[in-house]
Formats: sequence, structure tokens, C-alpha cells
Amino acid sequence: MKNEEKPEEKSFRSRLQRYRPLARYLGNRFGVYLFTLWASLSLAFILFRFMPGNPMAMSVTQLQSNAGLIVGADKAAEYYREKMGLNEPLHIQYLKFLKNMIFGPFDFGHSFVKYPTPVNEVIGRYLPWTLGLFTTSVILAWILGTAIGALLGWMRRSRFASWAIVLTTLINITPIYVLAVFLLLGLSYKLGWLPSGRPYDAQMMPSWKWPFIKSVLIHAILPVGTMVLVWSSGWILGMRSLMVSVLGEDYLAYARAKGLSPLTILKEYAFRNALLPQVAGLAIVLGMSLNGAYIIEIIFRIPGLGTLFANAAALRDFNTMMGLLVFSAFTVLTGSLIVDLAMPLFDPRIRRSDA
Amino acid sequence: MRNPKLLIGGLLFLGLLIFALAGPTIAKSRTKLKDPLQISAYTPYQAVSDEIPIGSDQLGRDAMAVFLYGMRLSLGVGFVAGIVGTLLGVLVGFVAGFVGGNTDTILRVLTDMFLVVPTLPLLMVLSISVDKWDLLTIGLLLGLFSWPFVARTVRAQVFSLSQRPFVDLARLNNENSLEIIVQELIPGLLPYIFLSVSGAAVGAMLAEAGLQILGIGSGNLATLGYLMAKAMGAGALGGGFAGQVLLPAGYLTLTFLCLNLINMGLDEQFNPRLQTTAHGE
Amino acid sequence: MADLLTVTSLGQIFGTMTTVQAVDDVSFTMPKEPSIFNLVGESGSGKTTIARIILGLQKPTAGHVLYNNTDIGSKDKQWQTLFHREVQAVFQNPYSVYNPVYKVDRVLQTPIRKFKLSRSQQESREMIESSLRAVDLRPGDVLGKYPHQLSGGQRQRVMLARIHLIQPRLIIADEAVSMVDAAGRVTFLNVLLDFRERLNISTLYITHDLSTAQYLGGNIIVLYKGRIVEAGLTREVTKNPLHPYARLLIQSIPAPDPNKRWAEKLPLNMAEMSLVQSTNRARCLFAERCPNVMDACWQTRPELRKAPTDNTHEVACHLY
Ligand SMILES: Nc1ncnc2c1ncn2[C@@H]1O[C@H](COP(=O)(O)OP(=O)(O)O)[C@@H](O)[C@H]1O
Ligand code: SF4
Ligand SMILES: [Mg+2]
Repeated sequence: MKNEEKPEEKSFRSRLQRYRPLARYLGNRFGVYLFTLWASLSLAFILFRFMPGNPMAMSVTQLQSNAGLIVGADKAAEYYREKMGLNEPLHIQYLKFLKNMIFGPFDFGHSFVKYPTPVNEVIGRYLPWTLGLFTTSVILAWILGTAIGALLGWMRRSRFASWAIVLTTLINITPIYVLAVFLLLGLSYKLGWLPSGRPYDAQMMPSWKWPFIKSVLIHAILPVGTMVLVWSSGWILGMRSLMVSVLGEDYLAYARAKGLSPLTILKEYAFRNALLPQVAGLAIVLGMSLNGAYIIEIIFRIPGLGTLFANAAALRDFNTMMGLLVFSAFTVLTGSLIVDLAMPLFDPRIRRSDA
Repeated sequence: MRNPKLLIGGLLFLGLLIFALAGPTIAKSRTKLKDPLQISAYTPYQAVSDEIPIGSDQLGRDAMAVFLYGMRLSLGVGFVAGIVGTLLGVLVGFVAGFVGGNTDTILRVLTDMFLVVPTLPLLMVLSISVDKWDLLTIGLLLGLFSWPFVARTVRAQVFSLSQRPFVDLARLNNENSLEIIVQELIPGLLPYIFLSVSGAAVGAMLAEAGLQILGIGSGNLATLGYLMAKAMGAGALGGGFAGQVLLPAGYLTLTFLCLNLINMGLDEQFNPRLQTTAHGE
Repeated sequence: MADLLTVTSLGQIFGTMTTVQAVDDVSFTMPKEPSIFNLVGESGSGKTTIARIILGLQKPTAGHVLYNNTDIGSKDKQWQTLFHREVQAVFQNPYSVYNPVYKVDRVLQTPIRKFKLSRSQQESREMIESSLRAVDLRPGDVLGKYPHQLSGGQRQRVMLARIHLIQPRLIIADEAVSMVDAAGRVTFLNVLLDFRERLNISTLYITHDLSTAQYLGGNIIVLYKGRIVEAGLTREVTKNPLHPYARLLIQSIPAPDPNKRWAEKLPLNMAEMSLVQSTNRARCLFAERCPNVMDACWQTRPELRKAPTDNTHEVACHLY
């Protein structure tokens, strides 16, 4: 009935009303985000206090036992017992923990992997590698996968497309580390085309000079390539099947009857509709992708958060692990929140109400 | 079995299963050692020879024997995790889809939460505190993390099934909720439940090997992931021990391929019928 | 004398944030003696919702339904069994009422089992076969088959055979023939009439297709946006429709397109139709389309009243 309204009725209020669903969607999404974040923080807290062996107490004991080895560790242990308030009632500990995580100073204490550097600083040091490789790979995989999937969906009856789908399915079900191993073995060890096993040439010093950047880029080809290959295969399959169902036979016939060009349908109708689930999927898949990225870092010996996590795990460095756990959860949740908040840009149904 | 994917996937999987079960017997038959997995029978990472075709592992065991025993363990981990994850997921998904309303909303938010949070770091933290690293424990642990996927599929399926008019007809037949669940909903869900078990199992085997690569796990549970991870850590790829990585990787990949083929086959077999009956509403 | 079915002030609101009033203060009664009531209205007028409430498949947000003077929400198990035995339905979609996993036989066997209609295997077999024959089906054509192996008409007639088997006192038939071809449609309607004559079964026949309602005769209730706008003998109402919306309906026979909203054939009354009015329900909901609209129509809701012409005839319109 919208278009029959009188012009003066299209007042501010009515315009506002039309955006109510959008506001509700954004509000809902943000509420769930806050709730999930809170739940993750609480889970982290519970994990670290109640796990068999009580890691928090253990890290203090660890400090004490290292007292002879690390200078000043005995003082640190005393400091922590104070600071973590391990003798305080649990709910006070919990509230203090939440306060620390929400209002700052986001203090996880000292790391053991790089004693006595604070956990925050250590994470900051390892972060750029993960951020660079992971973000690049996720975005690249999504764009490539969506584009190729759309193409394969469009060419759904060609022989080439069916073989491409078989290949994509194969890649999709191959575990990421297996693919990494194969690529390493083939392209690096056997053929010697690409370097492996470190983030940049061993002789170089990190700097913003071109030779170093070039070295980093070349070394990144294999890890990024692996991630993009595996992740894009999922997007390809998803996009293709969406396109195929959107491009159902009836619809094409109808469009032809209406005199629309096939390309118009591809662009205006099929692609737009198939895009939505792809974007929604991105929000869900981030966490899983981070799992894969951590493993890739280890295989390719990249000093990112995955490697840090493994080192911390080996040393039972609970401060660092706690920091990484909270940080990973925060990053992934925020990432998917951003994707979800961007959804209305792709979905006019959320943007406006046509009720 | 008219479906070729189902047939090929099923037969191949049966073959892999028999191979895994026969692994220990094969290992015993091809060695003079009393215990094929004897530690320090060789020097760690001893070069490949006729006796040890893919070398020895970091504990000086015949890596081939470790592989032959490991298949069973990896499948076992996947099986336990698959069952645990499916049971949990089916329960959550069923309740959410069937009861609906606020229960559904809460369970859905919970499921999405578990789906989005990166599980590997959580798993790492949890598994460090596990002091008895055995098949059941790790299977259970991994199963606890695989239920959200199952819950999602099952919820969607139960929801769509319970909106079907045949459920209304069942109510008019004076069937109670239990009868409706058992007689009307479960039969249509069976393929999805199998799909869930295999999906959760694959996920768990993947995650287990991933944990091993991250350096968590122990020689007590020498799964395929363990063999692979340790060999990779020791630079096996460049050092002539590629077999220690390729053999387990190949076995795992083949297993995933079979399970996926079975899944696709089941989907093709059961979905079209459900879809033809749903159309025209 | 007590009625068979008493529907009192039924209301159904869907949704929490944005709400839809699917059914709004609907009341009517069906008598004990075998009769046919037609419930007609365009798509979205609340017909299916009313049917589901009467069948106990969904709880209304207002009002109640009595069957033989007992609330159908009764917790009494025995009464519920009796109620389900006596009030049965034929649904719109002859495809999805069948669970695709089972053979067709099952929809006939289950009621026999649940309502304990027979004492032996032999007896149930005979009952099933005679019911199938009663609706012009050959048992051999349908028994042992899966639903997707039957045609739409056959499936809908198996549903009638199920009714014949259960022998309820009231059938709710919601758009039962909208997905059946023209020949199957007449057969179906004749079976309903036959059931009334021979088996004393009443029918609440729900449709968007006025011509099938006319074929059945009996009484008619015209629904618009969840409200009853006119009611009376089918013959009387179709000959002499009073409500402007009912007039539009009668004019547009045959109007077999279930997705069409008849009211939209009329232009909107632009001047009066404001955003404020669009959400106001204390008015005549047909006002924005009504050619006879008056000021009162925007201000007060017209109640269902006896028509001046005939005392079996009721109408909710400020014109009368
Ligand atoms: N379960 C439901 N949830 C929300 N809205 C519903 C539901 N069922 C029906 N409606 C709405 O109620 C109105 C009446 O629907 P219905 O009773 O199916 O009408 P009819 O059968 O006359 O086409 C429609 O606007 C419909 O969208
Ligand atoms: S009440 Fe008024 S607007 Fe409604 S139908 Fe009657 S005349 Fe038309
Ligand atoms: Mg309806």
C-alpha cells in the first residue's frame, strides 16, 4: 500500500517506521554479540579456574619453582598471588576478571614463553603475521570462491564445469594440513620453486624495504595458497549450488519469455540472491578458519598466534594461553559481527519493511 | 542400492575399515619383534630400509607398525566423537525444532555461539589439562565440540518436517508426541542422522590431527595425526621420511572421501523424494 | 437444543513484535442435524487458522470452541479420543499430508488402530477395501503403493476413504479441492453431499472458490481480514448479497485464482486512507476499498446484525 500513500504522509515518522526492522535486526545482532562475548569470557574464566590442576594456581607455583632459574620470579609469584587474588572468593575474582576484560587494562600478566614480557606485548608481536596471512586468505578465498562458483553455476551444463566441480569437491574434503603437506612436498622440496619453512629469508632483517617485503610475499605464497585453495573450494560449491537452484529451469524460461537477456538474470537476480547466504556464511566460518590458520602457521613455521599458542601450550604458559583464547574469541566474534552488520547492504528485505 | 556414489563410497569405506581392523595383525606378521610397537627397537628417525619401509618414529618404533596400529585409533576417535556429537546435536536440534518458541530461540543462540567461537584454542586449553590422553577421553572432548553442526542440520530438518501436514494428520489420528516423533519424524531424519555421525567423525579426526600438529597429544595414543605431526616436526618432508606423512594423510583423505561420497549418495537418494512431496505448498 | 459446534469470539494474533490479527472475533454455530457450512474468503482472510483452531491443532489467543457443549481444550483423555474420532479433516495439499516414508495403506490403518475400529486383521482389511470403493477407488490401484505413485485426485480420495472409515460427525475440509482437477473436484463435492445424506456427516467446507460453495448449498459465512462480514443461507446470500465485499465476490464468480485478492480489484480510497487509519482496527476493514464508504465506516466497527431483508441473513456493514 506504500505507493498509494499521500505525499505528506511520507513524513519523518513514516520513514522512521520503515527502518524499524533494520534497527531491530542490528539491535538483535549486537545483543547476541555482547552475550556471546560475555559467555566466552566466562567460559575462559571457568576453564582456567576449574580445570583439573587449576591452571591459575599452577602458573603461580610454576613461577615459584622457577624462582631459582628466572631472575625475580619469586617476587613475581608473590605479586601474582596478590594480583590474581587467588585467595579471594570466586565471585570477586570473576567480577575483577570481567572488569579487567571489559574496561581494561586487559592485563593477562607476564608471559612465560618470553618472560617477563607481558602477554599483551607478546601477542602484539606475533599478531601481525596472523592478521596479515589470515585476513588476506579469508578475503581472497571468499572473493575467488564466490566468483568461480557463480561462473560454474552459470555454466552448469558444460562438461568443464562438472569436472571442475569434482576437483573442487576433492579439494574441499582434503584436510587443510594434508594439502599443505602435499604442496610443500611438491612445490618446495621436489621442484624447489617456492621457499618454505620460514616467513622470510633467514639472512634478512625485518624492515619496510622492498627486498624484505618481496621475500615475505614469496614466502607467503604457499601458506596463503593452501588456505585460499581449501577455503575457496567451500565457497565455490556453496555458490554454485545456490546459483543452480536460483537459476531453475522455470525461471530461465520465464525470463526468456519476458525478453530479458540471460546476463541480466545472472547479474540482477541470480547473483544477488545467491550472494546473501554466502555473506551470512562468512560470519559463521571465521572461527573455523582461524583453527585452520593456526595449524598452517605451525606447518610453515610462521611466527603468528598459532605458533605462539603451540609454544605456550608446550610450556604450559597459562597466562599467554588465556590471553590468546580471549583474543581469538574477541577477534572472531567481532569479525562475524561486522559481517552480520554489513548484511543489510546485501539484503533489502532486512533494510526496509514492505509489510 | 541404485546410487553409485553410495555403493562406491560404502564399499571403499568397508575396505578401509577392514584394513584398519586388520592393521595390528598385518604389523605382527611382517616383523620379527615380539611387540611391533616396541620402543627403541631402532634409533629415532632411522633411515628407510627393507625392514622399516617408512623409517622409524621419534621413539624409535617402526613407523609402519605405528601407521598400521594408528588407523584403528584414528577411526576410533572419529567414531566416539561422531556418536557423542550426534547424540548431543540430535537432542538439542530435536528439542529446538520440535518444541519451538523461546526454547528454540535460546538453543539457536547457544548453537550459533558454539559455532562461531574458534574451537581449536579452547580445545588446546582443555586438552592440556587432560592427563590421561586416551581414545575415549579425546573422542569425548572432540565430540563436545562437534554437536553444533549436527544441531543445526537436525533443527532445520525437524522444523521443516514438523510443519508438514502429515504431522497434523497424525495429531488428528490421536497420536501422542512420542508416537509422532518416533513414527513420523525419525524415519525421515535417519539419513540426516547418519550424515551427522559421519560429519562429526570427519571433523573430529581432522581436529585430532590438528591438535597433534599443534604439539598436543602423546605417544600413548599414536594416531595417524600423531605420526604425521611428529614426522613433520622432525622435518620428515625434506629428510626422506615423507612416507610417514603421506601414508597417514592418504588414509585419512581416502576415509573422508568415502564418507563424503556416502553422504552425497544419501542426500541424493532421500532428498528428492522429500522435496517432491513438499512442493506446491 | 445444544449445537454440534459452537465457535465463540474466536481471535488469533500472530507474532510478538509486528502482529497480524488473523482471526478477529469470529462466532458461529453448526447445528446437530447434518448440514454443510461454507466458510469463504480470499487468501489470508484467516480460514486455515480457524480450521486449525477448531481441529485443536492450535490454541486461539481469544475465545473458545465447544464441541457438543464441551470445550475442545478439555484435558480429559477419553473425551479427546472421542473428539478426534468425531471431528476429522481433509487438508488442502494432497501431497504433503502423506509421510513419504510410508505406503498409502498406513493412513487407513492408523485410524483403525488408534480408534480401535476393528477386532481382527480380516475385518480391517474389509473395512479399508469397502471405504476405498465408497469413494470410487479400486483397492488394488492404491493399496501397497507409495504416495508419490498416486495422482493428486487419487490421494485426495484416499483421504475421503479415511473419513468414510472413521465415520466422524464433522469434517473440516480446508481448500480440499484447490489442488485437484475439475473432474476430481465434482466427484469430491458429490462424496461430501453423499456423506451428509447417507452417513449423517456435517461438513465445514472452507474455500476461496465461491462456485464450489454454491454447488454444496447449505449455509455460508463470508470472511474478510479475519472478520465475518456476511452470513446466511448460501442460496439467499448468493442471490442477494448485502455487504459490498460480498457483492464483489459474487460478481467475480468464477474466480478460481487462489492467489488473487479480490478486494484489490477495487481502487484504494486515497483521500481517507492514511497511515494512522491503516493500523486502526476500530473501523470497517473494507473501508479503504469500499465504493459505498461513509464517515462512520472509518470511526466504528460495524457489528454483525440481522439483515433487514431476511432473518436468516446477517451482515456487518453500516449501510444496514
Ligand atoms: N503460524 C503463523 N504465524 C504467523 N502468521 C500466520 C501464521 N499462520 C497464518 N498467519 C497469517 O495469518 C493470516 C491468515 O492466514 P490463513 O489462516 O492461512 O488464511 P487463509 O487460509 O484464509 O488463506 C495471514 O496473514 C497469514 O500470514
Ligand atoms: S461499513 Fe462502510 S465501508 Fe464497510 S462495507 Fe459497509 S459501507 Fe463499506
Ligand atoms: Mg488457507
